This record gives sequence, structure tokens and C-alpha cells, in this order.
Amino acid sequence: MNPTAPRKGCHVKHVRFSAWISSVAVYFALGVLFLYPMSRLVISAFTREGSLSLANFTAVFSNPSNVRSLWNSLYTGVTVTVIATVIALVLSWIVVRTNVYGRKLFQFVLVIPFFIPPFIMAFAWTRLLGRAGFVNVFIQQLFSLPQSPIRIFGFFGVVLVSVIYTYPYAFIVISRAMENMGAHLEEAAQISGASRFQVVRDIVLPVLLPAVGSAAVIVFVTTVSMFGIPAIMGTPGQFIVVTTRIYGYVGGFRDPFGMNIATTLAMVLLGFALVGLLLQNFFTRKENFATITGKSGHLELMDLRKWRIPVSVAVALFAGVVVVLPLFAIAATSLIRALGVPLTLENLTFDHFRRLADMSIVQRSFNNSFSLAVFVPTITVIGAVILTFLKRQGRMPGRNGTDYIVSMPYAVPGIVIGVAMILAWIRPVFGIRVFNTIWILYLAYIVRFMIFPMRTVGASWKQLDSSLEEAGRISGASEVRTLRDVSIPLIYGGIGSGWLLVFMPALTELTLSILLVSPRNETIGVTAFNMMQEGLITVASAYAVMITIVVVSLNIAFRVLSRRRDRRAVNAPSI
Amino acid sequence: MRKLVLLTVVFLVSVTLAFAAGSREEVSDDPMSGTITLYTSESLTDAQALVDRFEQLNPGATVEVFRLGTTELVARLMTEIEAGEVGADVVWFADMALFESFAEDGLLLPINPSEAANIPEGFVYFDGMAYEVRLIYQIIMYNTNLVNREITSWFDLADPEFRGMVGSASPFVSGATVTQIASVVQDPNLGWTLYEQLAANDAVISGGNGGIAQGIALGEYAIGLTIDFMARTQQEQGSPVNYIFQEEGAVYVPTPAGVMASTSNPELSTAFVNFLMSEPGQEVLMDNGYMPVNVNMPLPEGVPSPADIPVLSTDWDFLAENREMLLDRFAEIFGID
Repeated sequence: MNPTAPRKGCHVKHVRFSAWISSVAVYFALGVLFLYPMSRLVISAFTREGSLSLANFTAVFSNPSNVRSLWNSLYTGVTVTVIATVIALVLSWIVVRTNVYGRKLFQFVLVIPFFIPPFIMAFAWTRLLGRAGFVNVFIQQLFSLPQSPIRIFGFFGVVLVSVIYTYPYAFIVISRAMENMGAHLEEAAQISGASRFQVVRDIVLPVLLPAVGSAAVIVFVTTVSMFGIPAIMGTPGQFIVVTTRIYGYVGGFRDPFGMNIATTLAMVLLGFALVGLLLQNFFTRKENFATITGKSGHLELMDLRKWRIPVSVAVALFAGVVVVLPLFAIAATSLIRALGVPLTLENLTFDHFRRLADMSIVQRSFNNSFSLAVFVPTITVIGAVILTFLKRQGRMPGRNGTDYIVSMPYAVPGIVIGVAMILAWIRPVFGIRVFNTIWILYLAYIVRFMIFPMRTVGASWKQLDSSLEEAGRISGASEVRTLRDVSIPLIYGGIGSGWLLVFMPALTELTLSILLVSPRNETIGVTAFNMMQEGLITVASAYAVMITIVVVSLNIAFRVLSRRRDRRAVNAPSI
Repeated sequence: MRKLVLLTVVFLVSVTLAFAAGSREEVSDDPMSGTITLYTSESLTDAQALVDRFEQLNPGATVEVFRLGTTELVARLMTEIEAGEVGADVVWFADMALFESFAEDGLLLPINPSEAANIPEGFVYFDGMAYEVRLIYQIIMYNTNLVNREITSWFDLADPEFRGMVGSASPFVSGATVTQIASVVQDPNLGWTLYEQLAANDAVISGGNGGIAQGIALGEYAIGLTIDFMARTQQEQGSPVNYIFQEEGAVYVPTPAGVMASTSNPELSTAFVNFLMSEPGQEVLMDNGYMPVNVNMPLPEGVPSPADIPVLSTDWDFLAENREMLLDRFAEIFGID
């Protein structure tokens, strides 16, 4: 890991020079991509017309609407975190630790809401619980009420859909921790005479706390950073959160200092996320201690006995409500001939899909989003390999700083990156025009998603013993050849999973793109969102159905492919 | 190592080149071919239908549609003007006051489309810098399953029978609603008191007119303010809706279309505005429920002649000078952020 000593004396000068060159190149790229936009953001928040000022903060905190939006974000974040974490805990326990029916199936079905773009999820729920939503109308007819009973837009709607979108994150983290926990600790305690309550209090909770804590933090940061769900479920009920407020300042209100106020709100939102991140560091530090218990060989399943069927039915109902019902709602809306007519067979039509297929913006946005979803992961993976290589090679000055720069946007909500990108690129820089082109989306996506392949490539490279690379070098291969023929083939797993981790969110990204799209450069997410905003309910439903089909089938395809690769990896010699 | 440096440099250079290439505009010799961009607050599906017809009549021409609600569209346009990078060739949206200031600032191109001869004089604005291409009104639309009595007046929206079931587009999205506010508050029969009564009736202020029209068709709202052609379209599709022109006066919403002075293809842009006023363009608009502006076109069935429709008067200077005050007070009354 530390070959700072020159291998051949005569090359010393040359090596140092090229190391400096790559350092300059790398920091130039990171500076342009990451540091320059973020510094524009900070400058904009702390200045007014070019001079240092706190006027923006005064403006933010003296306007009741802005303060309310900050409070709404915090309040929603905390509520969603509590509910989603509790749901995830209960579901994880049932699915991992009891003999409920269909455990394997539930493990897959319960995470489906996580694949579906959140703005589609929110839109689907408006079709269920909106004033004329299917559920609302059903209840109204059942009890012959004068009006539909449920009013969903506002706080409750935002919480409902946010919980459904975020609980799968927590479910994945917590159920993995439960699988690793094993039953021997609990058994030992029980044998020693502890009551069931004592076992839960003294053994189960402390061991799970790190996983639950870090899951809760992820849920909180995700919730306060979200744009699509509050824009669709909150705004129509006059429930504005920070992200939708920022969007209002950038995209709508005519305030002479709108951009400054937006950046100031963005700084406060960034503060929320940073506090969350600090908490997460705290929890994950503890997790190291917890995993000492290791993965237990056997996992005793609790016998639910007479509760086995009721519990299975309850979990199936839950999955039906959060997965099947919303998908049914948009599918039904996309097929209905006209709004307001009853849902009968003769009122069904494929017209809306036909209209959709004829719209040039739909074809264009598919092209744009697929290009972004293919090239952005490719660029970020190449970048991650180069940065990790330089760090591992150990010669480049400043090699350890790159991680910090690249991780920065992890804590930065998408809408904040969007604002930073506008500020940075609205005017041509050195004659290069980025604003109003598709390239601003590329820049923003790269900044946003670079962290994923950095993590996965870094992790799998870390497992690689340097003796393999040294063997390559001793056999006379150049460093680049060793990289190509030895290192990269051995870290395919990290490269592949990093690529996928970027591909999926990039395909349907909305939060960043909503501020950055321009004519001809629309993305899938923004096009669908704008259709929903315009009130093209049937066409938007057809589009949502199309997107959902594409996303879910791609997910299944990648799942099958990666399972095949895993099997191959098991057969390969362990590294 | 040298190769790696080389690779990095090549990578950076190619990205830079790609940027440069992306920012270059295509220029063609044939004035009636090429690509122009339309910024509009028109419904996306209707704009697409118009563009399809235009492209069919002018092979080689491409019109890209960029659609947002008027308020967002204007914010976008202002940002672009400030940045010196205007993406629009043709603009068409419901903000007369802004068109006026564009005309004063020389941002609009004076054009002379031949079809202008077929539209009434009052619909040619600012000495030929902008044109009305069809007539729209903000009217009262209602769901016939939910409303059983006769509707005639703005104040029917304040009827407690419809409490919580009244919808209207937000002035933060809809240019028509901004026009409406400026007209209503200056009308002796209506005024701010109308809005106070609507707020007391828990009226929902949300999104654009399209969403309100669809919401009324769905039964989300029993009654609400939206645009006349949307009501006609919904009716034709079989939705249980009807609409009336308010007896105190409907809101006439000018939606000028014009060509930006910064366009790189003035011929094609002018041709597109001309097409909107021409018979083929007017036919597409009428198919989608609009009232034509071309004097040679018949009125849609069951629609009164524009001369017989009562309208509120709108003072554009008042609107331009008091826009922020109007929006602030409206937002305060309805408690919208």
C-alpha cells in the first residue's frame, strides 16, 4: 500500500512530475464539477448585489411562509422517520424471525415501492385518495355520503407517500441486521432465566440499535430532501416544504432577490441534512461493535402458531395496499375513456397510450433520460476507478482529499445541487455554454451520483490483496496493463453494482432535473411531472404506467443477471 | 503512468469538445426548414396537435414545444433573458402585461403575417408585434352530477352548498388567474369581497386551469373557475360537465403569440404564428374546443358570438403596476404560500 520509495532511481524526477500533473488534472476536474458550483451557492447565500450581507437570512426568517416551510420539512421528516422505522422494524421481525408464510416472496415484494419513482407513487395515491380517488369514491358510495370523506392533500398525504417510499430502505437495513444477529444471544439469556421482555430490552434492542439508528437517519435525510412527493401531495393542500419553496423561488415567484433567498433556504436545508449525516456517523461507528457478534449459523424461527395465518394475511394486505393498489389506480386511469365516467369495460380505451406515443416530447425525453442513464454511470465508474487507482498507487499529492470532495454531495439534497448548478453555469464560462443545454444535466448527475461507484469500487478494491498487482508488476507488466489485466477484472463486482446504483435513479431523476431542463433536453421525470402538474391526468397516467413497466422490468432483468454473476463469483477463486 | 495522464487529458479534452459541439446552432439555407422552439402555456397535447399539423404542411420544419404554466414559463424566460441565452423563437402565453413590456423593450420582432388581414383589428397588438390566435375566457364550470341548480353568477361559487368543493387555478401557476384577479378587484359588482367569500367557502386554489377542469370532470370539485374550451372538450368526451359565462362578466384572457427578436429563424417563426391564425391552424384549435379568431371560420356549435359574451374589463397598466400587491393580497386571503 505504500510504495513511495522509487523503484528505479533514474525515474524519480519523471514519476514525481507525472504525479503532479495527474494531481492538477484531478483537482481541476473536481474543482470544476464540485467545488466551483458549491462555492457559488455559499456566495449567493451570504451576499446581496455583490457585497457581504446577512440580509438573505433575515429575509428568510422574517417571512412567515419561509419559516413555515422550514418547520413543515422538519416536522414531516421526524414524523415519517418514526412511522417508517417502526413499520420496517415490525416487518423485518415478521419476515426474518418468524415462520410467516411466503417469507422469501415478502422479502422481494415489500421493497418494490423503492423501485417505483416517488413522483409516480405520489400521483398514484392522488388517484386513490384524491377527492375523486377510487378509494374515496368507494367509501362515499358505500355509506352514501354527500361528499367523499378523505382529504389527502397536505401534511397527511406527504407523510403517507413518504412513508411508503422510504420504509423499504429501513426494511433492507434492519432485516439484514436481524439476519446477522442470530438467535444464540437470546437463547443464552432465556436459558439464564430472563423474561421475554428482558430479552427484548437488554439483548435485542441494544444489538439492533445501530442498524435502526442509521436506517432512521437515511429515512430522515431522504424525506427532507424529496421534491416530487411534497410537490404532488403537499402543494395542492397549501402544505409547502423547503424543497417546494425553493422551487417556487427559482421557478415562479417574481422576487428580485429570489435566487439569493432560494440559496439561503438551500443552506438551511443543507444544515438539516448535515446534522442527519453526523448522527449517521455516530450510529455506524457503533455498528462495528455490534457486528462482532457475527453471522450466526442457525436462525431459529419463532413459531407463530395460531397467529401464523392472521399475521401472513396482514402482511399480504399491507403489501397489497402499498404495491398493488397504487399501480391499479394509475393503470385504471390510463385506460379510462373520459374522466368522471364509471370504470366499466366499454369505457376502457388505449387512446391515451396512442396519444402518448405520438408526442415528440415523450420520445425525446426517453432518449435523453436513457442517454443520461447510460453515460452518467459509465463516466462516474471510470472516474471512480481512476481516483481509487491514484489513491492506491500512493504517489499523487493530495490523493486522500478526493474522497471528501466526492462524498460532499451525498449530504446535499438534489434541489440544492440544482440551484448550485444554475448559479455556476447560467453564464458561459470561458466561452463554453452549459446552461440551456443537456450538458448541465450531465454535470449535475455526475456530481450527484459519483459517490455510489466511489463507494462500491473502493470497497471491492480494498478486498483485493496488493500482492496480485505486485505479481503483475514483477512479471514486467506496466502499471496501466496491470490495472487493465489484473485489478479491473477482479473488481468487476464493485464496478457493476456501482454502475447499476447510478443507472436506476438517473433514469427517472426529478429533483435535480426540474430546475435544469431546457427545451429539447427534457427528461422522463420532468416530462411526467409537468403533465401531472398541467392536469393531463389520463395521459400522465399512461406515461406513469409506461415508466413503471420499464423500471420494474429493468430491475428484474438486472436482478437475474447479477444473481448469475454472483453464482459465478462463488465458483471463482476467492480473493 | 504516462498513459494514464494521457488518458485523463484526452478525456477532459473530449468532454470540452463535446460541450462546444453541443452549443453550436444548426444553420440551414432554406428559410422554411430548420428547427424553432415554441415557449407556451398552452396545453401540451393541444400544442402538439398544432405542431403536428404545421410540420405536415411544412416538411423540413420542426417545432419543439416547451410547455409550462404561464408564471413558471415567464420566470424561465426572464432568467434566460438575463443570462443572454433565450431559447424561445416563438412565445405564446397568457400574460398580456409582460408582452407589453417585451414590446416596449424591443424583445419582440415586428412581423407581418398575411393572415393578420383575417383577424379583427383589436387582436393585433403593439403594431404587429403580437397576435391573438383564438379567444379564451375564464368561466364557471360545474359537474352536473353534483350541481343540480342553475348557475349564473360569480357568487354561486360562494354558496355554502359547495363548501370545500370549489376549485380555482393558482395565480402562481396560471396567467389567466392573474388576469382574473386584476379584473375582479376593479369591478364594482365583485371586488375583494368576492375572494373573501370564496375563502370562507373553503375554495381550493391549486395548480393550473387544466387540473381544475379535470378535477371538476372527476368530481373532485363540484364547481370552479376554468377556461371555456376545456369545459367544451370535457363535455364532448362525455364527462358530466357544463359551463356558463358569468352574468357579471367572464374573464377574457388574451394569450398573445409573437416572435422573439433574438430568433435565429425569423421566417419559420413568423410562418408558425401565421399558421396559428390560418384556416388549417384554426381548424386544429377548434377541434380542441377553442373559439376561432379568424373571421372566415364558423363558431363552434352552441357558442355565443364573442360580441354577446359579457366580459369584465381589464386594466393592463393597473395589473403591471400592482402585480405583487395583487398576488400578495390574494395569497393572504386564501392562506396560500
